[in-house]
Amino acid sequence: MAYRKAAFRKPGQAGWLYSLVTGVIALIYFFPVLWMILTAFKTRSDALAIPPKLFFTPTLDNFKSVFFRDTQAGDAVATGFVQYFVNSAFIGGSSVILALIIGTLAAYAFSRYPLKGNDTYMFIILTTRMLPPIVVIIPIFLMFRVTGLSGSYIGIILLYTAFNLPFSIWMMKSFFDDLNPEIEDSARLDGSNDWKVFFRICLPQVLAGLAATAVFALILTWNEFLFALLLTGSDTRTVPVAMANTIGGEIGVDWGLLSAIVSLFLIPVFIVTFVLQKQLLRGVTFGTIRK
Amino acid sequence: MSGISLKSITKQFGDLTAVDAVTFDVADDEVLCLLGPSGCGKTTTLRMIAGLENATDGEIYLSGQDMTHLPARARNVAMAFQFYALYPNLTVSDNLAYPLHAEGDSTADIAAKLRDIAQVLQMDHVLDRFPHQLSEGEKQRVAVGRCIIRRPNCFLFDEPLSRLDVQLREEMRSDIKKVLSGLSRPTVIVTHDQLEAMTMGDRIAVMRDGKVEQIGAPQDVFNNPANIFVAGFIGTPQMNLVGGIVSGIGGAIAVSIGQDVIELTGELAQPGHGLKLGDAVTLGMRPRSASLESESGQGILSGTCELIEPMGAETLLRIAHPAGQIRAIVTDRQGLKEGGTIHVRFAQGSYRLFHADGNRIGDMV
Repeated sequence: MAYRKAAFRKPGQAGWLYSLVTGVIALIYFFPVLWMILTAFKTRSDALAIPPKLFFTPTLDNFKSVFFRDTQAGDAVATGFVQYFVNSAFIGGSSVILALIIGTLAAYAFSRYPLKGNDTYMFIILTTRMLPPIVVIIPIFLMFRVTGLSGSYIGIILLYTAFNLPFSIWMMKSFFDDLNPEIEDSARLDGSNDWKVFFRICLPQVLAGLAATAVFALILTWNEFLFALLLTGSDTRTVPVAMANTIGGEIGVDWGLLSAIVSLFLIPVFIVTFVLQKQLLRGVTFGTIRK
Repeated sequence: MSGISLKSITKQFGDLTAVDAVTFDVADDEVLCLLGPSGCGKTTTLRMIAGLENATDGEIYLSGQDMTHLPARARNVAMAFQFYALYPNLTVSDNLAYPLHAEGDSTADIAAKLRDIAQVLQMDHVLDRFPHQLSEGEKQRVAVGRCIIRRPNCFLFDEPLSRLDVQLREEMRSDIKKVLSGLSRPTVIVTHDQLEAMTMGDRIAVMRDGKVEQIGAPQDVFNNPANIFVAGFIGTPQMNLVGGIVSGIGGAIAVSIGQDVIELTGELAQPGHGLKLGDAVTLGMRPRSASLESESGQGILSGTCELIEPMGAETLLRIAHPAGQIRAIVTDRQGLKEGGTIHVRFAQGSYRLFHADGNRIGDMV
């Protein structure tokens, strides 16, 4: 009986040893992020100091220089990073929403109206994600050149949507598969057509799955570098590409600046994950994914 | 034509024939129980009536209308599912009102009907809860309530009580029966529990391998099973079914069971059943028609007492007989001990005789 109790203990009742071990592991995982955030507040000399400085006088200069660059004449010139952040948000958000809409509908169809050879189609969908992006970049680059999609918002959004679709379909299908089909049957008998069954009955039950899929898809898209590097133009450039462009030059890597960009870049993902995490939890406690 | 009418309904899944030319009618105020072991096609039959499965062949009429090819939502059928199928994201009252919205009832109408149903099923206190906050019994009530809140062509219940514990099951059984009798709508209940079928059904249809083996009033099916399968399926403990050989057809029919001989009197003894000497037959006897004798003799089966199972008021004896195990229920177990020799007599008129092909011989006894 002793182990059973341990398995079901309440949060906060863990012994100090467990807490210590967990804490240490968590710190190891979080340390790079923490160090980066600290570096964002350091001066150039503090950032490069050996031994590394844990205590220092924080400065906001790095954050300022993300958005404004001082010219030799002493004027502050906008760096364009506002635009890059807007680009990242617009491109990432649009493609995730598109992938979720198409993916959810497709997943429902795969789950509820299986085709002959359903599994084969599911497999084929996944094969597009089996190749490393670097392998497919050349044909895609050429296609974009020919179609004129290169450098446009619509091009990169479509590409990211296609990139996110396999994952969305697989993920959402597993959530739909877990639903009790009796509930949908019941709704049909209660006079609902297929669309109403989907929107009123099924979709509310997979909100948690939708949230999880959105988070993963967003993180993938938000951080994507290779496609963005080759397929976005100067107007549509995303933050990861712009960030890479700050590396180099006569003074080498400006670690403080880079850390400041990454710290800012993390905030939207943090917020979205945090908000949807609550939704995820709500999904579990409301019994929507329980049978 | 009224109620539910199935004409030679067949359902094939690939090579498997799940339901094979099932035909029956359910009258307007009748409750029919589909009874059978799992996989016998009873649920598939129910789903075809509901329109959740398309019949491969045959016709389905509800309230006199051909509904064979209509989708489920157009059939106006109410069904309670085994796992209740409550909408998890809706409250109890929204669950109950769901079918009414589809019918386009006014808000005032819906509220009035909700009040009525809540009262009938004593659910006032749970109306604002979500399904996962309900007990099994409450979920069952909501599922039933969602069915009876409207006036459908018919009611369908799929294993309605299988998820409840014994006590609750008994309570719900009588509750559902009461509610149904007040509604007088054709009703089909699928169950594998014969007690449920016997108590709730006006008639029961026993199914096996996609076919209806027998259909009739519960008592009639119990007393006069059409074949060995029905005989063995209905009744607890199971009817004794022992193989024997026809050893006499002059006057009464005599059947040899191992070393014992049973002479059948009454209608079974009449000639005209086409039995010949030496034919293999099966004799069926209900364990409750047994009585103990002190010694072997004509019409008495003798064997070794294998097991004595006290069941409260009665005692179930398992007797090892050369022709197979025989179960007997007696009220007095004094002087019985396991391993001893037992002589039992089954009351004349309680015997059922079956052909080698499984069908019963003779109409009534």
